[in-house]
Amino acid sequence: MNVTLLVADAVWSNIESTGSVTEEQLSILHLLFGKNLEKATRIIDKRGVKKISGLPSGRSIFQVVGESQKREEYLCFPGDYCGCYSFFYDVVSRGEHPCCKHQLAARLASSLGTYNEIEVSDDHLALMLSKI
Amino acid sequence: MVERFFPTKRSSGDENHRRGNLSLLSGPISSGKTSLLFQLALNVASASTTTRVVFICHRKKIESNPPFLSQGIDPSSDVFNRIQIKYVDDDEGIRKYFAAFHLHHVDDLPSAVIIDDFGDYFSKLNSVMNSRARDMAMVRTLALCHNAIVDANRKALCELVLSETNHGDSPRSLFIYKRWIPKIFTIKGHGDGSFLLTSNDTSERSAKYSIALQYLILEQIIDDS
Repeated sequence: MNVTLLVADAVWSNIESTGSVTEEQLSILHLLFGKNLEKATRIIDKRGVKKISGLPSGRSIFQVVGESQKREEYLCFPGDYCGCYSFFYDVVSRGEHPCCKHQLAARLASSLGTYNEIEVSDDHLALMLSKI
Repeated sequence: MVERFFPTKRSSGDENHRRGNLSLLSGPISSGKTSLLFQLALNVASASTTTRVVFICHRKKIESNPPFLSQGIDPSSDVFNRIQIKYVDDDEGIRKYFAAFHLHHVDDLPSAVIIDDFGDYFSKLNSVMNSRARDMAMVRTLALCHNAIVDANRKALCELVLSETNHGDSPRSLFIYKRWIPKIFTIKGHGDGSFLLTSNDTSERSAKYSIALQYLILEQIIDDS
Protein backbone atom coordinates (compact mmCIF):
# COMPACT_ATOMS: atom_id res chain seq x y z
CA MET A 1 0.00 0.00 0.00
CA ASN A 2 2.84 2.42 0.85
CA VAL A 3 4.38 1.79 -2.58
CA THR A 4 1.08 2.83 -4.18
CA LEU A 5 1.08 6.08 -2.27
CA LEU A 6 4.74 6.76 -3.02
CA VAL A 7 4.19 6.29 -6.75
CA ALA A 8 1.07 8.43 -6.54
CA ASP A 9 3.02 11.18 -4.74
CA ALA A 10 5.45 11.33 -7.63
CA VAL A 11 2.55 11.70 -10.07
CA TRP A 12 0.88 14.40 -7.96
CA SER A 13 4.15 16.36 -7.87
CA ASN A 14 4.47 16.19 -11.64
CA ILE A 15 0.87 17.31 -12.13
CA GLU A 16 1.37 20.21 -9.72
CA SER A 17 4.49 21.39 -11.48
CA THR A 18 2.81 21.47 -14.90
CA GLY A 19 -0.75 22.36 -13.84
CA SER A 20 -2.17 19.72 -16.12
CA VAL A 21 -2.48 15.96 -16.33
CA THR A 22 -1.32 13.83 -19.26
CA GLU A 23 -2.88 10.64 -20.59
CA GLU A 24 0.10 8.71 -19.31
CA GLN A 25 -0.35 10.11 -15.80
CA LEU A 26 -4.05 9.24 -15.89
CA SER A 27 -3.12 5.70 -16.91
CA ILE A 28 -0.76 5.38 -13.97
CA LEU A 29 -3.38 6.76 -11.60
CA HIS A 30 -5.96 4.36 -13.02
CA LEU A 31 -3.57 1.49 -12.44
CA LEU A 32 -3.06 2.59 -8.84
CA PHE A 33 -6.59 3.50 -7.88
CA GLY A 34 -8.89 1.62 -10.28
CA LYS A 35 -12.51 2.70 -10.63
CA ASN A 36 -12.13 5.27 -7.88
CA LEU A 37 -10.15 7.42 -10.30
CA GLU A 38 -13.07 7.66 -12.75
CA LYS A 39 -15.42 8.52 -9.91
CA ALA A 40 -12.96 11.14 -8.65
CA THR A 41 -12.66 12.80 -12.05
CA ARG A 42 -16.48 12.91 -12.32
CA ILE A 43 -16.63 14.70 -8.96
CA ILE A 44 -14.01 17.21 -10.12
CA ASP A 45 -15.81 17.79 -13.44
CA LYS A 46 -18.95 18.68 -11.48
CA ARG A 47 -16.87 21.16 -9.43
CA GLY A 48 -17.53 19.11 -6.34
CA VAL A 49 -14.28 19.91 -4.47
CA LYS A 50 -14.00 22.82 -2.06
CA LYS A 51 -10.92 23.80 -0.07
CA ILE A 52 -11.77 25.58 3.15
CA SER A 53 -8.85 27.56 4.54
CA GLY A 54 -8.67 29.28 7.90
CA LEU A 55 -7.23 32.77 8.11
CA PRO A 56 -4.69 33.73 9.23
CA SER A 57 -3.38 30.26 10.16
CA GLY A 58 -3.62 28.69 6.71
CA ARG A 59 -4.84 25.36 8.11
CA SER A 60 -7.28 23.82 5.67
CA ILE A 61 -9.65 20.97 5.00
CA PHE A 62 -11.39 19.80 1.85
CA GLN A 63 -15.13 19.33 1.44
CA VAL A 64 -16.08 16.91 -1.32
CA VAL A 65 -19.55 16.30 -2.72
CA GLY A 66 -20.60 12.67 -2.90
CA GLU A 67 -22.02 11.05 -6.02
CA SER A 68 -25.33 9.98 -4.54
CA GLN A 69 -28.50 11.90 -5.21
CA LYS A 70 -28.37 13.31 -1.73
CA ARG A 71 -25.15 15.10 -2.72
CA GLU A 72 -23.72 14.72 0.75
CA GLU A 73 -20.61 16.69 1.54
CA TYR A 74 -17.70 14.87 3.16
CA LEU A 75 -14.92 16.52 5.11
CA CYS A 76 -11.62 15.20 3.87
CA PHE A 77 -7.89 15.37 4.54
CA PRO A 78 -6.68 14.10 1.15
CA GLY A 79 -3.81 12.01 2.43
CA ASP A 80 -5.33 10.79 5.67
CA TYR A 81 -9.05 10.84 6.19
CA CYS A 82 -12.54 11.08 4.77
CA GLY A 83 -15.83 11.11 6.61
CA CYS A 84 -17.47 8.67 4.20
CA TYR A 85 -18.35 5.10 5.00
CA SER A 86 -16.05 3.73 2.31
CA PHE A 87 -12.99 5.29 3.92
CA PHE A 88 -13.60 3.59 7.21
CA TYR A 89 -14.76 0.28 5.77
CA ASP A 90 -12.74 -0.25 2.58
CA VAL A 91 -9.63 1.80 3.37
CA VAL A 92 -9.03 1.46 7.12
CA SER A 93 -10.81 -1.72 8.22
CA ARG A 94 -10.33 -3.97 5.21
CA GLY A 95 -7.29 -2.25 3.68
CA GLU A 96 -8.67 -2.98 0.21
CA HIS A 97 -8.14 0.49 -1.19
CA PRO A 98 -5.39 3.02 -0.51
CA CYS A 99 -7.96 5.83 -0.42
CA CYS A 100 -11.59 6.58 -1.20
CA LYS A 101 -12.85 8.48 -4.26
CA HIS A 102 -13.39 11.65 -2.25
CA GLN A 103 -9.78 11.70 -1.06
CA LEU A 104 -8.67 11.05 -4.62
CA ALA A 105 -10.85 13.85 -5.95
CA ALA A 106 -9.44 16.23 -3.34
CA ARG A 107 -5.87 15.19 -4.10
CA LEU A 108 -6.25 15.50 -7.85
CA ALA A 109 -8.12 18.79 -7.58
CA SER A 110 -5.43 20.10 -5.25
CA SER A 111 -2.70 19.22 -7.75
CA LEU A 112 -4.58 20.74 -10.67
CA GLY A 113 -5.96 23.74 -8.79
CA THR A 114 -9.50 22.80 -9.83
CA TYR A 115 -11.26 23.40 -6.53
CA ASN A 116 -13.36 26.22 -5.12
CA GLU A 117 -11.39 28.03 -2.45
CA ILE A 118 -13.29 29.37 0.52
CA GLU A 119 -11.58 31.38 3.22
CA VAL A 120 -13.05 31.42 6.69
CA SER A 121 -11.91 32.67 10.08
CA ASP A 122 -9.75 30.35 12.14
CA ASP A 123 -12.54 30.21 14.73
CA HIS A 124 -15.01 29.04 12.09
CA LEU A 125 -12.55 26.43 10.86
CA ALA A 126 -12.08 25.13 14.40
CA LEU A 127 -15.83 24.71 14.69
CA MET A 128 -15.95 22.78 11.41
CA LEU A 129 -13.04 20.55 12.40
CA SER A 130 -14.62 19.77 15.76
CA LYS A 131 -17.52 18.16 13.92
CA ILE A 132 -15.37 15.70 11.98
CA MET B 1 14.87 6.45 20.46
CA VAL B 2 13.99 4.78 23.76
CA GLU B 3 16.49 7.02 25.57
CA ARG B 4 14.01 9.90 25.24
CA PHE B 5 11.85 8.34 27.96
CA PHE B 6 14.64 8.49 30.58
CA PRO B 7 16.75 11.30 32.08
CA THR B 8 19.03 12.43 29.33
CA LYS B 9 21.33 15.28 28.48
CA ARG B 10 19.85 17.57 25.89
CA SER B 11 21.36 16.97 22.48
CA SER B 12 20.93 18.77 19.18
CA GLY B 13 19.64 15.54 17.65
CA ASP B 14 16.56 15.64 19.86
CA GLU B 15 14.96 18.45 17.86
CA ASN B 16 15.12 16.37 14.72
CA HIS B 17 13.24 13.60 16.49
CA ARG B 18 10.48 16.00 17.43
CA ARG B 19 9.72 17.50 14.04
CA GLY B 20 6.32 16.27 12.91
CA ASN B 21 6.81 13.18 14.98
CA LEU B 22 3.90 11.06 16.13
CA SER B 23 4.64 8.19 18.49
CA LEU B 24 2.73 5.56 20.42
CA LEU B 25 3.88 3.99 23.68
CA SER B 26 2.07 0.73 24.25
CA GLY B 27 2.36 -1.45 27.31
CA PRO B 28 0.52 -3.57 29.86
CA ILE B 29 -1.31 -2.07 32.80
CA SER B 30 0.97 -0.71 35.55
CA SER B 31 4.11 -0.93 33.44
CA GLY B 32 5.19 2.67 34.05
CA LYS B 33 3.78 4.28 30.91
CA THR B 34 2.69 7.45 32.68
CA SER B 35 6.11 7.70 34.35
CA LEU B 36 7.89 7.27 31.01
CA LEU B 37 5.66 9.88 29.39
CA PHE B 38 6.27 12.30 32.23
CA GLN B 39 10.03 11.88 31.94
CA LEU B 40 9.72 12.54 28.21
CA ALA B 41 7.76 15.69 29.03
CA LEU B 42 10.53 16.80 31.40
CA ASN B 43 13.19 16.13 28.78
CA VAL B 44 11.37 18.17 26.14
CA ALA B 45 10.50 21.02 28.54
CA SER B 46 14.14 21.20 29.67
CA ALA B 47 15.27 22.17 26.17
CA SER B 48 14.84 25.89 26.86
CA THR B 49 13.04 28.30 29.20
CA THR B 50 10.36 28.90 26.59
CA THR B 51 9.65 25.28 25.65
CA ARG B 52 6.18 24.11 26.67
CA VAL B 53 4.65 20.68 26.90
CA VAL B 54 0.94 19.84 27.22
CA PHE B 55 0.14 16.63 29.10
CA ILE B 56 -3.45 15.45 28.50
CA CYS B 57 -4.94 12.92 30.90
CA HIS B 58 -7.95 11.92 33.00
CA ARG B 59 -7.87 13.81 36.27
CA LYS B 60 -8.96 10.92 38.48
CA LYS B 61 -6.45 8.54 36.92
CA ILE B 62 -3.42 10.71 37.38
CA GLU B 63 -4.43 11.74 40.88
CA SER B 64 -4.85 8.13 41.92
CA ASN B 65 -1.76 6.91 40.03
CA PRO B 66 0.68 9.79 39.73
CA PRO B 67 3.85 9.21 37.72
CA PHE B 68 7.06 8.08 39.39
CA LEU B 69 9.93 10.49 38.88
CA SER B 70 13.45 9.40 38.09
CA GLN B 71 15.95 9.61 40.92
CA GLY B 72 17.69 12.92 41.19
CA ILE B 73 14.84 14.94 39.67
CA ASP B 74 14.11 18.03 41.77
CA PRO B 75 10.29 18.31 42.20
CA SER B 76 10.65 22.07 42.80
CA SER B 77 12.43 22.67 39.49
CA ASP B 78 11.10 25.42 37.20
CA VAL B 79 10.84 22.89 34.40
CA PHE B 80 7.61 21.56 35.91
CA ASN B 81 6.01 24.98 35.35
CA ARG B 82 6.44 24.46 31.64
CA ILE B 83 4.45 21.23 31.64
CA GLN B 84 0.75 22.07 31.44
CA ILE B 85 -1.51 19.29 32.71
CA LYS B 86 -4.75 19.39 30.75
CA TYR B 87 -7.60 17.29 32.11
CA VAL B 88 -9.85 15.89 29.39
CA ASP B 89 -12.80 13.65 30.19
CA ASP B 90 -13.75 12.14 26.85
CA ASP B 91 -12.80 11.66 23.21
CA GLU B 92 -14.85 14.68 22.16
CA GLY B 93 -12.63 16.84 24.37
CA ILE B 94 -9.54 15.57 22.57
CA ARG B 95 -11.07 16.31 19.17
CA LYS B 96 -12.03 19.82 20.25
CA TYR B 97 -8.49 20.49 21.44
CA PHE B 98 -6.94 19.45 18.13
CA ALA B 99 -9.69 21.08 16.07
CA ALA B 100 -8.63 24.38 17.63
CA PHE B 101 -4.88 23.67 17.60
CA HIS B 102 -4.23 26.19 14.83
CA LEU B 103 -5.53 28.97 17.09
CA HIS B 104 -2.24 28.82 19.01
CA HIS B 105 0.03 31.76 18.39
CA VAL B 106 3.32 30.46 17.05
CA ASP B 107 5.07 31.50 20.28
CA ASP B 108 2.55 29.55 22.37
CA LEU B 109 2.68 26.31 20.42
CA PRO B 110 3.70 23.45 22.68
CA SER B 111 6.79 21.53 21.59
CA ALA B 112 5.08 18.32 22.54
CA VAL B 113 1.54 17.18 23.24
CA ILE B 114 1.32 13.99 25.27
CA ILE B 115 -1.91 12.04 25.72
CA ASP B 116 -1.85 9.44 28.50
CA ASP B 117 -3.98 6.32 27.98
CA PHE B 118 -5.38 7.50 24.65
CA GLY B 119 -7.26 4.26 24.01
CA ASP B 120 -9.14 4.57 27.29
CA TYR B 121 -10.96 7.63 25.94
CA PHE B 122 -12.74 5.28 23.55
CA SER B 123 -13.25 2.23 25.78
CA LYS B 124 -16.40 3.71 27.25
CA LEU B 125 -17.98 3.59 23.80
CA ASN B 126 -17.89 -0.20 23.97
CA SER B 127 -20.62 -0.26 26.55
CA VAL B 128 -22.97 1.90 24.53
CA MET B 129 -22.14 1.17 20.92
CA ASN B 130 -20.39 -1.70 19.17
CA SER B 131 -16.64 -1.91 18.60
CA ARG B 132 -16.99 -0.50 15.08
CA ALA B 133 -18.29 2.74 16.50
CA ARG B 134 -15.32 2.77 18.87
CA ASP B 135 -12.93 2.27 15.97
CA MET B 136 -14.61 5.00 13.92
CA ALA B 137 -14.26 7.45 16.80
CA MET B 138 -10.55 6.54 17.08
CA VAL B 139 -10.07 7.03 13.33
CA ARG B 140 -11.67 10.48 13.42
CA THR B 141 -9.63 11.52 16.43
CA LEU B 142 -6.29 10.22 15.16
CA ALA B 143 -6.83 11.87 11.77
CA LEU B 144 -7.57 15.18 13.47
CA CYS B 145 -4.54 14.87 15.78
CA HIS B 146 -2.31 14.02 12.84
CA ASN B 147 -3.57 16.93 10.77
CA ALA B 148 -3.15 19.36 13.67
CA ILE B 149 0.45 18.30 14.36
CA VAL B 150 1.50 18.27 10.69
CA ASP B 151 -0.05 21.70 10.21
CA ALA B 152 1.61 23.07 13.37
CA ASN B 153 5.00 21.88 12.14
CA ARG B 154 4.78 24.38 9.28
CA LYS B 155 5.56 26.98 11.95
CA ALA B 156 7.39 25.26 14.80
CA LEU B 157 8.63 21.91 16.02
CA CYS B 158 5.80 19.97 17.57
CA GLU B 159 5.35 16.30 18.31
CA LEU B 160 2.55 14.09 19.59
CA VAL B 161 3.08 11.13 21.90
CA LEU B 162 0.25 8.81 22.89
CA SER B 163 0.16 5.94 25.33
CA GLU B 164 -2.13 2.95 25.18
CA THR B 165 -2.67 0.05 27.55
CA ASN B 166 -2.51 -3.29 25.80
CA HIS B 167 -3.46 -6.66 27.20
CA GLY B 168 -1.23 -8.71 24.94
CA ASP B 169 1.80 -8.09 22.82
CA SER B 170 0.43 -5.24 20.77
CA PRO B 171 -2.35 -2.67 20.97
CA ARG B 172 -5.77 -4.03 20.05
CA SER B 173 -6.25 -1.35 17.48
CA LEU B 174 -2.72 -1.46 16.05
CA PHE B 175 -4.05 -1.51 12.47
CA ILE B 176 -5.72 1.85 13.15
CA TYR B 177 -2.79 3.47 14.95
CA LYS B 178 -0.31 2.45 12.23
CA ARG B 179 -2.18 4.51 9.64
CA TRP B 180 -1.25 7.75 11.41
CA ILE B 181 1.46 6.84 13.93
CA PRO B 182 4.75 5.74 12.35
CA LYS B 183 6.71 5.22 15.56
CA ILE B 184 5.58 2.60 18.05
CA PHE B 185 7.32 1.80 21.32
CA THR B 186 6.28 -1.41 23.07
CA ILE B 187 6.73 -2.42 26.71
CA LYS B 188 6.94 -6.02 27.82
CA GLY B 189 7.51 -7.54 31.23
CA HIS B 190 11.05 -8.81 31.68
CA GLY B 191 10.23 -11.42 34.29
CA ASP B 192 12.30 -10.05 37.17
CA GLY B 193 10.04 -7.11 37.98
CA SER B 194 11.67 -5.03 35.26
CA PHE B 195 10.28 -4.03 31.90
CA LEU B 196 11.78 -3.90 28.43
CA LEU B 197 11.03 -0.93 26.17
CA THR B 198 11.62 -1.50 22.45
CA SER B 199 11.03 0.47 19.28
CA ASN B 200 9.42 -0.76 16.07
CA ASP B 201 12.64 0.37 14.40
CA THR B 202 14.74 -2.74 14.93
CA SER B 203 17.97 -0.80 14.39
CA GLU B 204 17.35 1.16 17.59
CA ARG B 205 18.38 0.12 21.07
CA SER B 206 16.10 -1.21 23.80
CA ALA B 207 15.87 -0.11 27.43
CA LYS B 208 15.40 -2.23 30.54
CA TYR B 209 13.86 -0.29 33.39
CA SER B 210 12.03 -0.68 36.69
CA ILE B 211 9.41 1.16 38.74
CA ALA B 212 9.46 -1.32 41.64
CA LEU B 213 10.94 1.15 44.13
CA GLN B 214 8.46 3.91 43.13
CA TYR B 215 11.14 5.62 41.09
CA LEU B 216 11.63 5.30 37.37
CA ILE B 217 15.01 3.58 37.14
CA LEU B 218 16.80 2.91 33.87
CA GLU B 219 18.70 -0.31 34.44
CA GLN B 220 20.30 -0.95 31.07
CA ILE B 221 20.37 0.18 27.47
CA ILE B 222 20.57 -2.88 25.26
CA ASP B 223 22.13 -2.62 21.86
CA ASP B 224 20.68 -5.58 19.95
CA SER B 225 22.63 -4.76 16.81
